[in-house]
Amino acid sequence: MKTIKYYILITGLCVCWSILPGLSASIDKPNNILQSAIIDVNSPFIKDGVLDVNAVVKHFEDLYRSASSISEVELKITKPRNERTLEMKMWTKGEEKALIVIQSPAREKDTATLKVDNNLWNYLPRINRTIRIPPSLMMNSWMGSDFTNDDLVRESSFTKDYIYKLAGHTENPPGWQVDLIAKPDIVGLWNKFELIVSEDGTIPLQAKYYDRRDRLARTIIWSDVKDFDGHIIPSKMLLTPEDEKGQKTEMIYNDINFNVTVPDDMFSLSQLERKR
Amino acid sequence: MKARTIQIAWRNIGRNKKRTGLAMLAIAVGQFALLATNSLMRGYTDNIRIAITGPMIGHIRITEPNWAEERALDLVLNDVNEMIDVIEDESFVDSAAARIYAPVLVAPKEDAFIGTVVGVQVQTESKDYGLLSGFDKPLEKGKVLVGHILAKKIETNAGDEIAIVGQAADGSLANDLFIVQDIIKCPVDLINQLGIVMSLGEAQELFVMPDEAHEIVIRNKTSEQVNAAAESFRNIPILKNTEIQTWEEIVPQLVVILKTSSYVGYFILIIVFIAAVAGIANTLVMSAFERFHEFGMLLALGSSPFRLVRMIVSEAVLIGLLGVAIGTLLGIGFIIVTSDSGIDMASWGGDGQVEDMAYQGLNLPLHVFPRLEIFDIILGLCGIMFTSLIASIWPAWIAGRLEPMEAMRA
Repeated sequence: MKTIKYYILITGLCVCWSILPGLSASIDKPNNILQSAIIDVNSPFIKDGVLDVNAVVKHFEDLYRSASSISEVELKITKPRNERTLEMKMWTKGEEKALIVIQSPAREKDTATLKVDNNLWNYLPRINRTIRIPPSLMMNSWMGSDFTNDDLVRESSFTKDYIYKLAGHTENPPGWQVDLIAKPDIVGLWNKFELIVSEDGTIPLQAKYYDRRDRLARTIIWSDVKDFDGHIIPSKMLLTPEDEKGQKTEMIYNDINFNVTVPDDMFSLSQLERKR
Repeated sequence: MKARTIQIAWRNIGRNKKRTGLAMLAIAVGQFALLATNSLMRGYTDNIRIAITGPMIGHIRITEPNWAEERALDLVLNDVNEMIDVIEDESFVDSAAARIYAPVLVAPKEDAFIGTVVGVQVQTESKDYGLLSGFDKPLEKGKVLVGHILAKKIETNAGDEIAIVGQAADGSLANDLFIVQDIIKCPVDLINQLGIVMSLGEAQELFVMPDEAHEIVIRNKTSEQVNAAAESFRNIPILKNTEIQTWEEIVPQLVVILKTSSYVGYFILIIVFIAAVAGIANTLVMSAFERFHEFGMLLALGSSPFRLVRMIVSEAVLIGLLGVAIGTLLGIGFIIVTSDSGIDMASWGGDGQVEDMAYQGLNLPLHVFPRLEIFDIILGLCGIMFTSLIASIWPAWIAGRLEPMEAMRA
């Protein structure tokens, strides 16, 4: 009987020993961040079992970029009372130039958006007019989606405009959390955002964006990792705004060709207004 | 009060004309201030009430239950034409007008600006108190009216072509070209600041909202019984799943302002009350002290102390009545002088650039036409009579307690 009591006591202590560190981590650190976790993953971004945060942020910044690209994208916009899907073709050159042309539905076919540096134009084929989106409207919705014009133009640079640091390892989703906090002299939308990347640091998994009042404004979840032309990237991006119930926008990359030849005149107003 | 006593009182108040004159002047100024303030406040609250129950939200507004909170484009009323027919069948309804509100980008040239398309039933809204009241030209097809502040901002004029881009109720892209028919100034601030007004039919087509609208604005024939009218609409089957609100429920803040304004008159009355008490009491006390010898004589000749009291009270009432009469004449003169031109309160505030004041999306005209009611005169009269009696208590009490011999020696 005495042996059984000792057995129960020792077993109880072992259970407590195993639970307590987890409890303290979940209480002290949000999102179950385990600061001291050492991950044994073979990745160019892991040095001595710890994430190389500088390399990860730079990689994240250039994830969907290259010298040039042509992609086919589907945009699913879900609102509380309606849902619609846009099919688009996108051409990019470097960080500064992009052309997006809507392929379907018919009502919006050939509607196009041109980005050159920090300028944005929309071409409306139905009325054959091109309008420039002024900087004051950069935070407005793009094509009725939850993405803003600023998301397209992306004036801000993660590496230049944010101070970033490794917050630690997370369990849900399993990966590394990097906190990016806007520099004090930068006027931008996001006060900070918490980016979670995969264990090897190559794939973004989730990002929570906080506004100037430090309120959670939106969450992006990346999924469906695919090999596009040798680039391993998530093909699906789900954006959920916090203040709009029942609303979300899903961006799905059906095809991306990187480092293809895209002529410079592709990114001109005349090309924007070209009949297709 | 006997006529003889009043006759003596009348004679007594004329003994020291300067002192009596000053007391009457104080009362007259008080009565004038009361009438002028009350009539101005009434004119001002008339402006607010007319702006709310007229072009802004009418007496009653019907919307989809969540629209007021979310203002989402797709929170619409369906079967709007049938709803309006049913509403206009009610005998107390003067007009019912459907409206559409849609945020858009407006581009006269290359650059885009934020605007709001307001789709209206032009014929109904052109009536008195409608959104387009005073606008006598019919709105032509393919043309829009632009709020004067927005027009200035986007540098557009009548005859210009503008592109309108927005999101339709079904989520698709709404875009079209329109000609600016005219630039308008409206009591609703939203229209002036951001408004692009087009016919309801064209707005329904642009934003894919067939037989749909965001609100129905109802104006009753009178401003009375609005709550009962709203209740009767709630029992109509086609309006069952809608939100029906009276103007007092929609803009409670403005209702508070209206109620507060009505108390300003009472505040002025208290000031008048204090001025009158001080003026009359001072005049009568001084007069009583000066006439101790005379009072002693009257008492010695057989007058009762009560007769002296009556005499002093009569003097107080006469001074009060004369003061009220002069103040009322001044007040009526003020109303007559300003009845046609009104008073431009904006000019009191600076360089005259500001013509209206916007609050809660409502443009409150600062050009006020004072309106006097008989109640204001009666209020002042009753207040002054009451204070005259109060002011006469002390001197009457002194006179009533006089001993004839001591008074004659005084």
